[in-house]
Amino acid sequence: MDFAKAQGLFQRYPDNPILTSADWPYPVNAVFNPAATELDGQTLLLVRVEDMRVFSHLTIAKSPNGYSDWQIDPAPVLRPEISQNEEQWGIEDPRMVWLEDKQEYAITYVSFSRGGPVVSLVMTKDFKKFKKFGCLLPPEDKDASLFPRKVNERYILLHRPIIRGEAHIWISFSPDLKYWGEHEVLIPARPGWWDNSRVGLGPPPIETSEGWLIIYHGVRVTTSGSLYRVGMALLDLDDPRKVIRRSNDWIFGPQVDYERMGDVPGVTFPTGTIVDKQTGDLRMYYGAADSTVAVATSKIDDLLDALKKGI
Amino acid sequence: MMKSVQLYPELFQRYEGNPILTIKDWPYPANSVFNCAATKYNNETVLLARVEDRRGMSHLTVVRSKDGLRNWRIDSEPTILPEPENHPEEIWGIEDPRITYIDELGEYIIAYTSYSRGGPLISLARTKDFETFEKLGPVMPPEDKDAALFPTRFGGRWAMLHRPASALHGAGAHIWISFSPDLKHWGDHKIAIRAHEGGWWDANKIGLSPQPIRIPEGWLVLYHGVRTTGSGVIYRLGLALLDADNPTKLLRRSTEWIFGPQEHYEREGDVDDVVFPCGWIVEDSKIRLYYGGADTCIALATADLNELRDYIMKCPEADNSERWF
Repeated sequence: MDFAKAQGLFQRYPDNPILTSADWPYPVNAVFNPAATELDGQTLLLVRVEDMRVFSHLTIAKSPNGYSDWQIDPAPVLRPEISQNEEQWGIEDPRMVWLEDKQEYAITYVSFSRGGPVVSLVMTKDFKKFKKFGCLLPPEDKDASLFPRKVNERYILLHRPIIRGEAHIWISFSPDLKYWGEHEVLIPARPGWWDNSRVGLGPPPIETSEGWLIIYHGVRVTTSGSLYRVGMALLDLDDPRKVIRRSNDWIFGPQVDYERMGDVPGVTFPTGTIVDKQTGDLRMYYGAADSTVAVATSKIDDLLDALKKGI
Repeated sequence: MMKSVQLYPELFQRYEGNPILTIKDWPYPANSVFNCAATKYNNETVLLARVEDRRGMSHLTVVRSKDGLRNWRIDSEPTILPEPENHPEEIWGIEDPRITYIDELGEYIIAYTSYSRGGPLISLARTKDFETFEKLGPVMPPEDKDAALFPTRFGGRWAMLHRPASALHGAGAHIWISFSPDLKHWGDHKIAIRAHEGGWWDANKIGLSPQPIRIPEGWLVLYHGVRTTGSGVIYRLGLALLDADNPTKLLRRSTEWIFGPQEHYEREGDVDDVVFPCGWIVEDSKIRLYYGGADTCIALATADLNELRDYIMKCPEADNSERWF
């Protein structure tokens, strides 16, 4: 797989960014890193919105086609709650899955506590009523998503604890979503590579015929800041602790103005995908430079082919 | 005339034969022996010592004594080795064990630090006889250390104190409590004892020392506080009391440290100025506290449990009004 081909795996939507703070019905600093799903024939994004205190909350934006005509809720749908002590400094970077067995959406997000960032869980059926379950693991932890279904009778969480600046993607297991164990490193950062400093899960795992497709971000720290790029991996369907494939190359990264310039320059941070099960078309929603929401498209088969050919 | 000087009460007395175990006593080559768990088995004192080899990696070795003071019998080879082939999280060694005897199970649960590629994390192991051990695997992701189980369940659930650490500047490292239905999966994480801020002896970083012990007033916790100075760190000890039925609730806490590095073997070693107990034994209200001295040797201090009880009950009640978790 040559570089030009790797570059061509994702196409940016020409009218990116699709959502900016200027679109927002109330004053905000930035909108980015959204979770994504489909609901009642519409695309629903749960967008991280940062206010001028730089605390974040989550707000719903809906579109009939997933690209334009966004209707943004006039108020936040999930705010940090004072009664949840761990949400003191905001809630960030949601990922959501439709949990088949519970018939509910499970949203994992970062609670920014005074004791450090932690991964929290909230469940909803309709995006109107939400039930918060508090933190799943002690700090410091971020970039977590559940698998959309149980595997071998247990729920699975991918997450990213951070230790003295180094961070790998870990996998953990639970019988009930509340108690977690059997923690293992799944995808480590690679010294010297584009993903040498930190790696973290992007959108929730996508079930394919070949395995669980993982899109993740890799961070390279440079003298003038960090570069957040995107890679992928494939996990065994029956035993997701097994990494079958991992891309050598990054497959998406900051290149255009809205990714290169913003509150945090050089960041492409995918947090949600929507896959058309018939065509295999994939829309990847990502935060650009911690400032706006953008979308890029690909095809599941192209991504799997690239992984198989050893991109 | 000289004014009389008010001295701090000395709750713990050092054993005159300190250090009780050093690398010179060891039956096989190693760099240092320190931070040991302690319990009673077969009417003997059993220590599970952290032994560091010259690669810089640690394993655990059982040491036994009839009186807990002298005539130590050291296992002739490592008792519990890291097994990276079955337990990848143990790749860089296993460290700092704490033992809790669980009456209900008729066995001992050992909480220890596995030094994984992704950082230190907490693992559990079980034994009935200190000869065969079953490893239960990692129970907390990194970074996490300084863990011990409570000997009883609370509302049907096991509870563990431990010390996760956040890389976030200013977040601090605190003693947390978590619960489990099965010893394998853990949740409901809360801060039990928070590090102070600012100029305190235990500002920014604290951790559990030995396993919690039940006293009539609640759960007695001995913890270490780390003070960072211009030339290193000082590890000292303080006391805390958790509610008997709801150990997420801090009742009292010592404002001052009660034990700290003073003697040569505590002041000087691989890591200077460290006293680090991982086990204590109570017999007839007498406490024997086993601690690592300067990450180099094992030492012993004794105390009267009733004096510790009096002391903690005179400490101020904890202010739980501002919870972080």
